[in-house]
Amino acid sequence: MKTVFRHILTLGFILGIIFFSVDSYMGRMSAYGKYEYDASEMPLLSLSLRAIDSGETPYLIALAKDKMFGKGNNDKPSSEEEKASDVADAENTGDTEQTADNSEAENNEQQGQAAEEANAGATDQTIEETDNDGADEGNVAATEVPAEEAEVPVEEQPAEEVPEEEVYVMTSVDDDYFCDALFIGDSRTVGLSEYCQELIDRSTFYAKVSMTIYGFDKIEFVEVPVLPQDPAAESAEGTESGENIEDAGSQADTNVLPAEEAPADNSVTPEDVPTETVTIEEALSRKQFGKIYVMLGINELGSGTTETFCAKYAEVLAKIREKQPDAIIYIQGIMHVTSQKSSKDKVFKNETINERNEGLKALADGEHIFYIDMNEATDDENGALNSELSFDSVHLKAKSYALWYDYLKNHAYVKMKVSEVPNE
Amino acid sequence: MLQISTNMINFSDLSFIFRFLPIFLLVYYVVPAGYRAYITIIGSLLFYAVGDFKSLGLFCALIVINYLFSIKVKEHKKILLIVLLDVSVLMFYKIMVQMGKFPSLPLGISFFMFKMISYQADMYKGKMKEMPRFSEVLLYFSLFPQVISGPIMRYQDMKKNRIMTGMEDRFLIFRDRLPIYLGKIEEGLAIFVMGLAMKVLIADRLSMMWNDIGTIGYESISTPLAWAGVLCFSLELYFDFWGYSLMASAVCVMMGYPFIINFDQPYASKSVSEFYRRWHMTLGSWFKDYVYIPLGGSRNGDLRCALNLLVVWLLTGIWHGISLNFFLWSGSLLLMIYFEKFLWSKNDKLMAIVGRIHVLLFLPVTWVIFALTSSNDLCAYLLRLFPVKGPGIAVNPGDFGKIAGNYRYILAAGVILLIPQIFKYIYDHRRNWFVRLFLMILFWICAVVVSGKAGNPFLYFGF
Repeated sequence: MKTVFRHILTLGFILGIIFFSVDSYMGRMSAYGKYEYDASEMPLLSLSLRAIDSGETPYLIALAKDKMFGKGNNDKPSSEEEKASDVADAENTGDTEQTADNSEAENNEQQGQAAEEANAGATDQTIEETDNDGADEGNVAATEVPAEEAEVPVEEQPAEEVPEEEVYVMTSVDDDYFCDALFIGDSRTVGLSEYCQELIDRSTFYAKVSMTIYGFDKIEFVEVPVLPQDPAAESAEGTESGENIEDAGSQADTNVLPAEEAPADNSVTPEDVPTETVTIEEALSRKQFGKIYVMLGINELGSGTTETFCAKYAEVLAKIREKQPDAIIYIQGIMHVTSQKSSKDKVFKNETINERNEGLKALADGEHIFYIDMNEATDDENGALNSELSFDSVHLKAKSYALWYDYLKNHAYVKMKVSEVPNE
Repeated sequence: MLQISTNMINFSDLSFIFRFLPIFLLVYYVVPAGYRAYITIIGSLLFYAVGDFKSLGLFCALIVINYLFSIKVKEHKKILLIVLLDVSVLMFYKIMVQMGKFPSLPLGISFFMFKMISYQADMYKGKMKEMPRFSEVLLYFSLFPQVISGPIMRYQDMKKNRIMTGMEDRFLIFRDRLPIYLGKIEEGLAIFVMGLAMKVLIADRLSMMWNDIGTIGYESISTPLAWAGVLCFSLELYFDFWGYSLMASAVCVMMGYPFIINFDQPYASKSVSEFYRRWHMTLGSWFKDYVYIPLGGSRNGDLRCALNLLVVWLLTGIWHGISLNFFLWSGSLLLMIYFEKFLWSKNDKLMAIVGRIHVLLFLPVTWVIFALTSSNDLCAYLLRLFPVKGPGIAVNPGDFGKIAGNYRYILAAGVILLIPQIFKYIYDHRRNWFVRLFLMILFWICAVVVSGKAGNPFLYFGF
């Protein structure tokens, strides 16, 4: 006994190895089947450890619980887990907590506060990120600006008395085109929301680090006002009377509405408007947008195939169409990574990105849904992300976001009457 | 044959902790004492081969040449020749890597070179009691816990391992041996866990923050974030290297070597000179014993002393890498040391205040110079740190709130751990069973964190 206490660390080390190895071995086909395992890279017991890391109960303990208390008490039968890769797992199953992340919650809290401060006087609500699902540094930015602030061609209701057909034509637009635009995306779009001042001032962002297309209807992170009980009030909300949702992490003051737009009644503080956190899908049914830009796909590279990815993407597009029938939807091709990354990484390969972009291109209908590829603005001569524009080979540097924005400005679709379309 | 990933040579990697280390220790303690040195040599060469198979030949050749040369070094007195040879091999690879001809240096060359030179010098000065056998020299140069980046052990210290020599357990029966072995392993594990936790829970998290700052682009960070970055990188480097050193020494302790202290609370120092006596101590004392003192140290007047310091810091700069930033780095340190030695020290009160400012304010800035090898990056960063040229490009003033906010607990933990008493308490009480229990839990937490990182390439770069 004395020996045991004197060597408690060694004992814990050895017993831990034995337990987790047995646990991993027994669970490797069932509970841990979803983890990719390469014996040359890691010892077997890493399976159990990874399961713990993603918030699950080790196989044997779960089994013991089953046996002792019956099935009902098992907190998570792991077979139901999605078959997507680790990434998708980490992101999709909102309830599997990553252990490592305390900073996350604080981040929300802090940004939330900033948002509140920034937003006094708005009737609608300041949205800022909420990401409790443990992805690494979740981040959302949402900026809403009243639609009436700008007269945008798309907004024109097709008048019934005009018989002439209208079509969308690609053209260059000015900054105010983006006043009723929504950007949906992952960390790259988060970067856009933090470093593109023109868009920060005008557009809305439903973007979050490590977002995937699978998270569209799963991850709750968009903060919106709670729906009023009274249906009349609900329609009032839809009028977008002046509203500013912002990226609290950044420009706390640049985003405040022009004084005349702000409601006179300053007593309506953000605290008075209860908010809730919803999925992008749900948020889209609360507020209408003129343009919706989507760039998702980098985090999905490690999971599924081009077919499964595009199928899910198409499903999401259909849902957006249904909820936002008047919006133009832009599918943005997935931005490349640098050639250095592409040649070394097992997952982030430009060939895969190109393959998936081809698939995305086919989803555009040329009527309401358009495909644009901002890689034209950021590629080098090899068709990879120009390494001078990026530090980590995946994201643009702050100053490089201007290239993306310029591309968007020069590749915008505007509705025109057929007779007015310039012939070229 | 099973392909072994090069990650295995990383002490915080699961395949080192759960594969190489336990298997090695088991074999090491099971074989009779006389074979332990050979087992260690085989293990070490295997370890090296896994890490850098291509350089294994060069490594072995250097060992053989150095050994052959050393046999008669006392008589033929051509020590300069072999030192020059060793240094030029090192310089050749450094220059080649700098020019982009080779992708990386041979594994551990910067460190085993120190061992080779000090070994030659000790032989020359007749410090060895007897002529070392080849196997002993091979063991000394290749010892796997130290081969990658130190600590730089002296040859004489290698002889202090009474397990390896069999002095400790030679006449004992198995029942009495076991507690000795377990005691060594337990002691080593306790230190190992402290190092592992520093590396995995603090340094690795901080490196994510440093990476986040780089992602924004140095020309676009706000000045508060630039200063947060200074703190971040200083802490990252400290806990990364201290953690590494603890783990390396811990593995040696598990094999029966005495514990080698490589970091002794440097940030509690009262001057930069003291800081570098307490930071990467085996490197500092190596330079002291084999460069500074042989040159005359501080005994031949101020001018000579200043010159000797210049040589030491010039060599330190070159050793870290042949690029402008390392010269700037070592130059700025040298400047502070000059000021301390010849100016501030004239007045005790002044020295007390300015010395602390040096250590706590200027020194962290020198780490940024150390970190940024590209002069464009360095300029951009310094201009954000000291925004004399006006605002940067596309700066988002909210970046400090976001990034420093995200990592504030980790930063705080790092700063708190600078308080010397905390580590000292854990280290001094490492034999208490509750500290052990705490370390055991800490160990498995680290293992879980490491596994999550290894299994999920996205954790490091959450896109």
